[in-house]
Amino acid sequence: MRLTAKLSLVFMLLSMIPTSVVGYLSFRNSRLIIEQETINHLLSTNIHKQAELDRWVQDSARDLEIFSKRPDLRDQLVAAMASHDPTDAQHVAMHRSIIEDHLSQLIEGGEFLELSLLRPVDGLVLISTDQKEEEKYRENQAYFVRGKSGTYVQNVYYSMPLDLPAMTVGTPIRDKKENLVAVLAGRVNLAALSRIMEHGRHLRQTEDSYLVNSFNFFVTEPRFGKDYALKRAIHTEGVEAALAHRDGIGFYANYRDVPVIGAYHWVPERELCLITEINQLEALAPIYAVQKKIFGLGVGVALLAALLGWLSAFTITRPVRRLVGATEEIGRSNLDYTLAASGRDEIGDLSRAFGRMAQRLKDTLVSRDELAREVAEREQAEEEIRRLNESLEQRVLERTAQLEIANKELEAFSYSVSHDLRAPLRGIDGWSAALLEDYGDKLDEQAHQYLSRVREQTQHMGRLIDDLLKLSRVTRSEMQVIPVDLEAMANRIAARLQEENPHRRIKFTIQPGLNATGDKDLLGIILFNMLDNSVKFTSPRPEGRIEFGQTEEDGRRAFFIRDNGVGFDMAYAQKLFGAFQRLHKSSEFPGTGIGLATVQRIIHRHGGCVWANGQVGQGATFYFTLKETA
Amino acid sequence: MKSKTILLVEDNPSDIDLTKRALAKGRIANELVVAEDGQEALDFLFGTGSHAGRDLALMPTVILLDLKLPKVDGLEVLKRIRADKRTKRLPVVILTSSREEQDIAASYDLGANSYIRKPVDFSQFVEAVASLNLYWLVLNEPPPKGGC
Repeated sequence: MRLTAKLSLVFMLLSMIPTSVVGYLSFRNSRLIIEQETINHLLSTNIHKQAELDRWVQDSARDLEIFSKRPDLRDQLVAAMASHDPTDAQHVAMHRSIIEDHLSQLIEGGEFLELSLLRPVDGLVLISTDQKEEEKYRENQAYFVRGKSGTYVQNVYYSMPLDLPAMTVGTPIRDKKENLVAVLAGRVNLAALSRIMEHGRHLRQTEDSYLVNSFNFFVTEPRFGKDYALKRAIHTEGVEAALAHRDGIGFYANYRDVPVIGAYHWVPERELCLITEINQLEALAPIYAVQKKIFGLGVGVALLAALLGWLSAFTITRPVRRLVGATEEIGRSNLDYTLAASGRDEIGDLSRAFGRMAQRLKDTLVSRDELAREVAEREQAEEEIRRLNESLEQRVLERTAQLEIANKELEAFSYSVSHDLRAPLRGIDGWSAALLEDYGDKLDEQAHQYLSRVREQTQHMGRLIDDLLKLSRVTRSEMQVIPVDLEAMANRIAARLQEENPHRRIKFTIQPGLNATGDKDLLGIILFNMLDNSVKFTSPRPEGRIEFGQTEEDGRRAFFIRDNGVGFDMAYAQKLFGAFQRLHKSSEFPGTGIGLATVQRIIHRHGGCVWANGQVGQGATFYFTLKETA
Repeated sequence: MKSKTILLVEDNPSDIDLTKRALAKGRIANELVVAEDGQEALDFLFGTGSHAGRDLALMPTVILLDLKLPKVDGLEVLKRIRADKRTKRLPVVILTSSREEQDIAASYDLGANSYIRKPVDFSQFVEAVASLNLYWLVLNEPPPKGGC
């Protein structure tokens, strides 16, 4: 639901609450007032009508009483009463004269419909304005019985002889001596009752007053009925209440079954119910009008509130909608979109905050882009490194394979050298020997010497080949690294060298407790080669002194072999460890020049290094280190 | 008793002659049969090829076998000798220039009785040949003929 719709609805609902409350209260109030007013009106109408009724009855009774006191009437009546003979012409004339001179005058007044004079003794109607009444006995009628002693109003009753509702007033007529002469009975014209009931009702459209007797019969014609009087019974709530001698007000359905407000009143003197009713619809019409007005007002206010709500919502949501638009723009990555500045209210603050946020977002995105670019570059670099690594691995694998192939070739080469190079040498030596043996006597001294040189060189070549093979084997053989007791090993070699050089005086000094880890065979070759060298180069000395020990060099344990031999020139120290490199003449010190090259290779394979110190004539010291393994 | 025969399997003519000379120098007069390649040696031993129909009862007392041979190499020849019941007990001495460990190990693994490296120095060579023949031809008690 949109905010505008929501706010409109809220405003409308909020406006409806007070409107409803006020409307309800005022409606209730006016209803109470109007009802009360109606009730008051009805009650006063009843009171008024009862008063009218009483007055009318009293007037009727008084008029009849006044009439009965006419002296001439009395006199004529006394005279007429003296002779009672209807056949007597004088008597008839006398009656006529009473009717014409007196009674008719009263009848003409319209107040009474019929006047009769009754004989007190037996209630015989002596004279009546209605000739049919004459000569009839009405001795049981209340107006006669009670009328003998004073004026008496007999309440409305159904007159059997007349077959009409009737009300008759009786009053005595007395002579000068106060003797009862006759009873004067006057049937009252009930039209007056109807007039009283009808009086004033024309002011309202449905106001209706009527009288009902104690037998539930209408006595007067109701406003909306015809020929009801004494012919129709009525049992409405109001009538029943009044017949129970209660006065009051009620909301009920009337004789026509129309909802009315009715005031009922019991008139005990007349034994009649006086009912005044008005249709609720008419009585309460002002309420309905008020209700309508309140409702209309409420609707109007609600609509106005809704309009106001819509307007304020529109006012509020317009910047919000702009914000939404801006958000969508930014959502579409249009970060350059700027929001027009709004007012100084919270929405304005929000808009400005939004603008700042967008700016920061833009900044962030820019730095993010930079970051992303950097990350991409880095990834690319990593990718490059990975690629290089892969190619490096590939190259290493290739190179390893190449090395393996080279090693195989070298092996094959060494094998060939070992086999094939030696065979011809053996031939040269063998056949030279054969020549010397078989033809020695035919050769001169010079030839003998030459052939000896051939054999000598051939055998040297054989040794060279053997040493070369050794060197290559040292490089190729698999190492088995184990702890090695160097002291014991050096002692064994020293003993062997002493044995091989029985004519030499050599003093070996071997430091006790020398240990190392490495390949036992290869370490043996090192020690042998180096000690053998020392033995060789100390040969000019009367006593060769050779020392094998251990020292500390640059924080590393280093072994050394020191001798008091011929030494060497440090200028050639670099050449010492090269293959076939010799610093001395073969005639002085025989050798192939491979021994130290072999030593260096073995030491390198053990992760160590080898170097030498020396001086010509001052002996030499060879140092070597081995990779220390924990 | 027929004199003891030596089978020399050697392809180098110079070495063959030197060996013959060394044998002579060592005063070994036993009959020397020379096979110049591995196949010929096998033909001689099993009476096949150019040696078809040979009396196989006459087997060499000792075989001097070079490793590097044309056609069938020395180690293969040794393997076949040891695989055949007629020849499996024959003493075989490897006489070669190689001092490679792998060759020495392989030879003994295949059942060589001895391994001698031919020295370059002829005097040493004579010494070696003489001593090996002294051992195999004189001192050593040969295995019973045939197989079991």
